[in-house]
Amino acid sequence: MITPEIIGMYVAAILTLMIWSYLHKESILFRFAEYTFIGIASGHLFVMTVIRLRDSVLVPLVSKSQYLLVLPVVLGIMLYARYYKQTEWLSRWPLAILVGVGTGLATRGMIDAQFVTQILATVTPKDLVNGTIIALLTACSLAFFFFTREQRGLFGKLTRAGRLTMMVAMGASFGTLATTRLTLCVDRIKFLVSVLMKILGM
Amino acid sequence: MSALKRREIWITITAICGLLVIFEYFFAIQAAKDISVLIQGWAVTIAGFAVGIGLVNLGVIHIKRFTRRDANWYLSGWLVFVMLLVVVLGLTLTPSSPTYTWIFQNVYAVVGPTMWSLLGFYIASASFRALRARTLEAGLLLISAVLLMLVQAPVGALIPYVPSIAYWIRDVPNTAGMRAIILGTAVGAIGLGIRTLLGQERGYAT
Amino acid sequence: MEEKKSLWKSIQEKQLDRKVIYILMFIVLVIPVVKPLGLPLPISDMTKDSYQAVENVPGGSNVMIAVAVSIGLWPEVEPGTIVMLKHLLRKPVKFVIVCWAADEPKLMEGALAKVADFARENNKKYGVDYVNLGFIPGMETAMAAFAKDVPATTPADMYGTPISQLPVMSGIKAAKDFALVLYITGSDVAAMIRQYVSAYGSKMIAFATIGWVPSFTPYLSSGQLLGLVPGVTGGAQYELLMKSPGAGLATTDALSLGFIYLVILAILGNIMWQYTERPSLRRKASKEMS
Repeated sequence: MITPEIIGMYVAAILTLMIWSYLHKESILFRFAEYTFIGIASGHLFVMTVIRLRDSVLVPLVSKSQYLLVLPVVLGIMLYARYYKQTEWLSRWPLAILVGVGTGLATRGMIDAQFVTQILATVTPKDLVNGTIIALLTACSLAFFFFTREQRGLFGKLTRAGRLTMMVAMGASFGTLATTRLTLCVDRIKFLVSVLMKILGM
Repeated sequence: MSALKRREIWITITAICGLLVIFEYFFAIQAAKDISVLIQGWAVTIAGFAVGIGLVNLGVIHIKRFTRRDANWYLSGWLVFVMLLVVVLGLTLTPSSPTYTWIFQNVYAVVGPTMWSLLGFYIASASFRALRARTLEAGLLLISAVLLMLVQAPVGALIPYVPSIAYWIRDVPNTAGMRAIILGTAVGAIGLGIRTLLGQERGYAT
Repeated sequence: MEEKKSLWKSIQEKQLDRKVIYILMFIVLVIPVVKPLGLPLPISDMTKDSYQAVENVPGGSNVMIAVAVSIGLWPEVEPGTIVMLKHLLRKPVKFVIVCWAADEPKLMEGALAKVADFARENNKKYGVDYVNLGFIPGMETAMAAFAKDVPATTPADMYGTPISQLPVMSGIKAAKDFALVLYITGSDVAAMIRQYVSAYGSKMIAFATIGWVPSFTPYLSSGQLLGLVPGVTGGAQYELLMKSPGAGLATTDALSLGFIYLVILAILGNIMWQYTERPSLRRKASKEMS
């Protein structure tokens, strides 16, 4: 019996093969799947955003008389004034609020989270031997970014050590990124194998 | 009216919002906290409306391609059709409905990971054609990549010394390198933040 | 008539068609999927620490699950997410799911559907013991707003039910009301650390895609992250700790063969390069010939 689940399984398998056809060459099959994806992604984003705005702004505004919520709604609508040359300046106000709040939040948190705490962790390690190595290599890596001073002599040696440290870190990132991509390949292959098994009745 | 268009106004708005958010973080003054909560809530609402900007741009570009019969115009028409279909279904039937869930699970959640999985094949090709240990730096990068990769799977534990060396690489030199990057970007980002709040960086509103 | 090149000659001249590489990779990955190897998987300290941190959450506490994974990377964190949900459902705690991007509410809805039977067995009910608050736009702004005032930022769950009607949300006002934050992510953890760990002293564990693990180790070593569950491998390890084998363990065998294949390709490519292109060896070879 043909159920939505079975149709869905075949649709998913066909779409997987259409995307993988790109490995042979770019074709209308790949582009069709790609455009379908973008269409769904943008539609889904719109739906989820509208639902969130409905629940957090419209419902409290109407049912709980929270009239102050009109202000952010007006500011949000002002963003769309950018599409008309005469009213373009109106869109800068809500953008200014967004940028101001975002910048303030990021800056205030960064001082502790990514600066003070990281420096403290470097100079007060739990393991003395490895901690000392980390501290030295961190200093060398930071020295590598001093481009205003000529990198030669002792300073040159330190920056070379920093450069080699960065290469090890980049290699670690590459190796783990390769793992991520391979995991997704395995996931798709598992799915295709399961579809094949179902078709063969196994 | 022209006074309202002056850039000093929106630069001041940016500075006030940013400095208020920073001020209430460091000083326990209830009034400042209350106003900060208010404008943060407003920012979340404005961010919701901002999502629509990208969607409007996408829709306009593809509708223009469709009406002008540009390259791949039929695919642009399909994109707009799918987008509108999902919007109508989502807003009328809700995203939890079986139809919406079917589209999400059997189309959207399939194509996304499959596109990312293409990179797995490209990495295999790059491993043979491009990964060369030409210099000490490249060699270190290659060794580090191979060891960190092997240790993510059971096979890594079967090769002697691989787990201990790989975890040491991850916990010591990699941590040092990444920490330097974190510190460097933090300094740069704090500087950029201060410049933005002082009105020196105005690229966001042009 | 053009001479047909042998495979070995093609490899030597680096003219091996990349499709041969793709097909071989496909074969290498299919074999363990069809016939699992059953290789033992050691459990890393990172995953053990994460498991212990969840295990140590006191009964009656609230746990926050924040999600920021794009749909393309979801298969990597899904096994870890499902087993983590089972872990929380097994404990006398409540958990709240909040999503920083639009894809995640539906993805978490799917994950909750997969553990629905387990929830029923443990007498856990949606709205009473756990809730999915859905998507809040704004990324770091949303994170900060939620941390400061939960009811004002999310007055309803993803289905539109007001939180005043959800018993699970009683007593949850801000970040300080969560005993633990679990962050499922396919991107950087820095924003969450800024807005939760630094700002409120929250305890946090990350369930991250493996590609981000090297970038997160400085936060682990500084204690800003209590634990880190790396992608599908971490998920498989967590499944072993929970004695609940699932999709994670089924994937690690294929990863083993895949990695061996990549390493062989890299070694082969470097050997070919040494003997065909490396200048010093070429000079030596031409000297020997003369």
